[in-house]
Amino acid sequence: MPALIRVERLSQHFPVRGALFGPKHVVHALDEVDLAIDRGEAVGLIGESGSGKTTLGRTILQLYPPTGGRIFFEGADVTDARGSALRNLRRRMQMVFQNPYSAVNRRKRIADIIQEPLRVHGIGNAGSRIQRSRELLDLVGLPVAFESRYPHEVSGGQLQRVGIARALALEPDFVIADEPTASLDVSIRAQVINLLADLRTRLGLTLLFISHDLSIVSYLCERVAVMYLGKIVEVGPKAELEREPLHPYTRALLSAIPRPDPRARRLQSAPLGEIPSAVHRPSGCHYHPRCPLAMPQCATRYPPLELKAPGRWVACHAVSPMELQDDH
Amino acid sequence: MLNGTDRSALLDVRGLTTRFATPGALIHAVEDVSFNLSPGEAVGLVGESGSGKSTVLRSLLGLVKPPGRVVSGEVLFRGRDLRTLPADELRRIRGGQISLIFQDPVNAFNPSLTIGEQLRRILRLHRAEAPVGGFDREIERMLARVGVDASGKLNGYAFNFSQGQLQRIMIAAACLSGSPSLLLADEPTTSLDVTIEAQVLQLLRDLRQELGLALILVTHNLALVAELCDRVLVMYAGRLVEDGDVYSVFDSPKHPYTQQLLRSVPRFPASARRVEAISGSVPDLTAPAAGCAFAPRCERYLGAICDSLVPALAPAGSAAQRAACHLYTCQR
Repeated sequence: MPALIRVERLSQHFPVRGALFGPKHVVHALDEVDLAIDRGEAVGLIGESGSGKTTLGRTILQLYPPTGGRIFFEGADVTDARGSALRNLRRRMQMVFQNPYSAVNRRKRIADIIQEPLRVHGIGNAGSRIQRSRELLDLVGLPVAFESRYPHEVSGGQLQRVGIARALALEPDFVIADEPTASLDVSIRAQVINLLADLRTRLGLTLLFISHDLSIVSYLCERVAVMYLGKIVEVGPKAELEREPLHPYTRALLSAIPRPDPRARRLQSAPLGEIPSAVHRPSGCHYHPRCPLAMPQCATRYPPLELKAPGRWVACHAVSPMELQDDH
Repeated sequence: MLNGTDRSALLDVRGLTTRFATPGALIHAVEDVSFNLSPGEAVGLVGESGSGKSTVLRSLLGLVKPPGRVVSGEVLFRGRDLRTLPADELRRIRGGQISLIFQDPVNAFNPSLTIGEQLRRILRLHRAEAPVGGFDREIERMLARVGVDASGKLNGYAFNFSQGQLQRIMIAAACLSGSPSLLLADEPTTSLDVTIEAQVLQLLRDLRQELGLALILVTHNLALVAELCDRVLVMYAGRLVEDGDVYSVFDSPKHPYTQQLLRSVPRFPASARRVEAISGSVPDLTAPAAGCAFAPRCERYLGAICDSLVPALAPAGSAAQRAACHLYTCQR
C-alpha cells in the first residue's frame, strides 16, 4: 500500500530582496525534503524557528506551490493539481493553526466558523450543516450552546477546539497541526493534546504534528522528523529517537528540553550557538558550525539522509551504520 | 523563615492587592499576596494566564498602569516600603538595585535607536562617573560577559540582532549596568527556542552565582522553575495558593491545584498515552468566588467550606511548605 502522503525532493525557495538595488537572495525554506507518512500514522515535525517546519506543512497543503519536487497523495502525483482536483484534495487535507484567535473570523458565530468549510465545498443544506456542526462540537467536547457564541466569548483552549472541529468538518484523511498548543496554558494544553490523541484513534486520522516542543510530540506521535535549515536531518521511530538520538542536532535539541524535576537539573553546558539565517546557510552540512562532532568534510559536503539502522534515517557524516549495529 | 516578619529578608511583600477598574467591571488581579525573599534566593512565581503572576511583578516596582492600581499592601525592600518612596528614589532603585527583564526582547528595545545608544543611556543613569576606558569599552565588556560579540555592532539596531542575542543584551543591561541585588524576570525565555532557552537559563544561573543576585522568575513553565529556582510560589486566580522549597513542592505538592498542575505537565519522554488535564477553565476575575477559587475544578473538594470561605496560606505537611487549602486548616 502506498503511503498516504509522500513528498520527494520537495523544495520551497523564496526570493528576498536585500538592500535597494542590492543582490537578490534566496531563502531555502525547504531544500529537497523527502518524507512519507502512512495512513493512520502520526508524525511529529520538530526543529527551531526558521528550520522550515511550517513551510513544509504549508507546501504539502499547496498553500504555496513548491519550487521543486513532487507531492504524492495515495500514490498519485498531485503536485500540479489545479481547479476542482485541488479543491477535492483540500477536502481531504486540513490544517489546525497555532493561534486560534487569528485563524477564525471574529465577527462570525462559532456555528458559522465550523460550517464554513461545508458551505465552501457545497456540502449539505442549511439544516444538515447545523446538524453536522452540532455533532462536531460534541466531538471536540464543547457544549452545543457554544454554537451561538462569538470567538471573544470563549477561552483560548475552547477556541482551539473550534479550530479542530472546523478542520474535521470535511472528514479529512490527513490533518496538519501547526503548533496547536503553543498559545495555550499548561492545564488547557493537556486537554487539547488528549483531544487530538482521542480523535486520532476514533477517526483513524493521519497526522503531521508540527511543534518545537518535543515533549508534546512524544505523547502524540509514532515517528519524529527533525528539521534544520530547510533539511530533514533525522527521521525515526519516536521511542528509539528519544532513547538514542543519532544526529548531533537531535541530541542538542533533546538535551535542551527543561525537565520538570529539580533533581534532574542539567549541569552540562547548553547547546552551542544559534540557528543561522536560511539566506546564508553554512556550507556543507548546515549544522557544522554548531556541531561538536564536526570533521573537515562536514564543511564541504552535505551528508545524504541515509538509513543507519532499521527505520532510522540520519544525515550526518559522523554517524556510521556499523557503530549502531554494535549497540543493538 | 516562611512566617511573620523576617529582618534578614531582602524583600518582604505583605497583603499586596492590585485591581483593574475597567468600564463595567472591577478585575481582582492580585488579592492579598504575601511572601518574602532572602538575599540571593531564587523564587519561581508560577501560574497560568490570568493568575496575576505578572501583575505581582509589576506591582512590586510601581509599574502597574491605569486602569490598574495597587490598592493595598506593603513592598518592603531592605526594610523600606517601595510603595511610599518618592518617585525619583523609586526610579533609582528600579534598574539600580532591582532589575527587570521582559518576555519579548524585540519589543523591549527602541527600534529607532542604536543598541549602543540605548545601553549608553542606561549606563549613564546608573554610573555616577564614566567607567575607565569610556562607556563603549564598558558596554563591550558587559556584552562579552553575556556572550554577545559586540565589536563593530554597537551602531546596529535591534533588528540587526537575533532574538537570543537581544535577550542576552537585555540581561546585560539588567544585571551589569547597575549593581542589582534582585532580578525580576517575566517569562524571560518564552519567546525563545528551546536551545536558546537552555543557553539563557545557563547565563542566568551563572550571573546569579557571580553577582549573588536574588531572583523572582515569573513563568507558566514549571520546568524552568525546576531548573533555576530554590523556592516555588504558585498562584491561582490572583492568590498565592502554595509556597515551598522547590524539592518539597515538586516531590509532594500540597495544594490540589499544584498537584493537578504538576500532573498536567507533559513529561519527556512521554510516560503514558495521555497527559492528565485539569478540567474546566480559569475563573472569572471580575466576580471573585466567596470561597476558594479552585473549588469548581478541585478533585479534593470538601463541600460547603470550600465554597464559602477563602482558605488562608497555612503550614501544610512540612515546615518548609504552606498551602491555602481547607484540607490543612481543617485538620488543625
